[in-house]
Amino acid sequence: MTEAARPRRAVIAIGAGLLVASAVAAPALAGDHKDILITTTLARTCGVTAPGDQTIDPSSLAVQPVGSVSYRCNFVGGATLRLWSQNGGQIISPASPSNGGAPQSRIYSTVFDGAALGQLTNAADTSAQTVRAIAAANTDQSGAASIQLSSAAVIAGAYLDTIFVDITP
Amino acid sequence: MTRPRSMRNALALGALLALAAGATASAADSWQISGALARACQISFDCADGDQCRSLTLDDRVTVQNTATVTWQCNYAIEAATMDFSSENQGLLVNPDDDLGLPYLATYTGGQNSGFAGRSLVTHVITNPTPDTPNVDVSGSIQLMLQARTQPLFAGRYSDRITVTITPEAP
Repeated sequence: MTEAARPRRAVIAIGAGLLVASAVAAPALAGDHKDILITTTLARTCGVTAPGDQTIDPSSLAVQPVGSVSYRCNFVGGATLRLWSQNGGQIISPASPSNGGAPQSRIYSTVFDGAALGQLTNAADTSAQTVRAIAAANTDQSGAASIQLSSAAVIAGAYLDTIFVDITP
Repeated sequence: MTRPRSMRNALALGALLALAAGATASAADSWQISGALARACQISFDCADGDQCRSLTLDDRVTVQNTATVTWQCNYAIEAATMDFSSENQGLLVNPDDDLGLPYLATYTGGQNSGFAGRSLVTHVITNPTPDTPNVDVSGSIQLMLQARTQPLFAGRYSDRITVTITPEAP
């Protein structure tokens, strides 16, 4: 114990003595209260669900629906939805002997929720992912997606791409 | 340094609030779009004399005579297709006034395993072409060599219809 601490202990001891004396002298009627403020924050979150796998006709130049993306955010305000694809907006039939030994690809453009997004970019190019601003409403929301090929496939094979969707508060 | 308990609690609560206030979450998902373009083959013919192919010289029984040029292609390569050559009159040129008909042997000069030589079309002739390259034409001539017969021919028109069909084989 330091020298500086000694006088404080003496004062506390005297105060305690006074409290005991007053408690003996009168009934203990006085009340007291303290407010305890408890706060916490629920973070903004969004969830998104892609449609199941979709079948398209690689020989058709018509607009082809490819399902509906469902999303929900727990706030009202702006959120950012990003779309990109594994093949950068192309359906591809991998190289095989039966297709001449070269991969066959066809570019497609995408429409999401009524907005023309053009050709999606590749997943590796995150800076160029197609961005779509959405108005989150703290309720279930969805947007329909469709694609349109720029030219029809003419060589037999299985053509595919994987579309990714991401939503950020 | 050891802090009083109350101060430690306050620091812990502050850290919790900061974590809650600063945290945002995102979510991602994906789906596949896919479609198959089926195998297909095409065939066409070109007759020098319009829709009725080149006339034959009936008294020439030793020369191979060209009739039509038949062109085919498939939208795939390497794997086979089936070509079927058949005759409406089972390999005979027929004159309505002649009960016997005039037999012939047929040849198709197409490449990539589509051809055959000197076969009667009394029954179907089947070949199995294997296209080298998708969507590239392969052409050949249908040639006939008229066969000898002991009976004289009748005046009139001798004709037959040859049908060629190409079908892709399943992968």
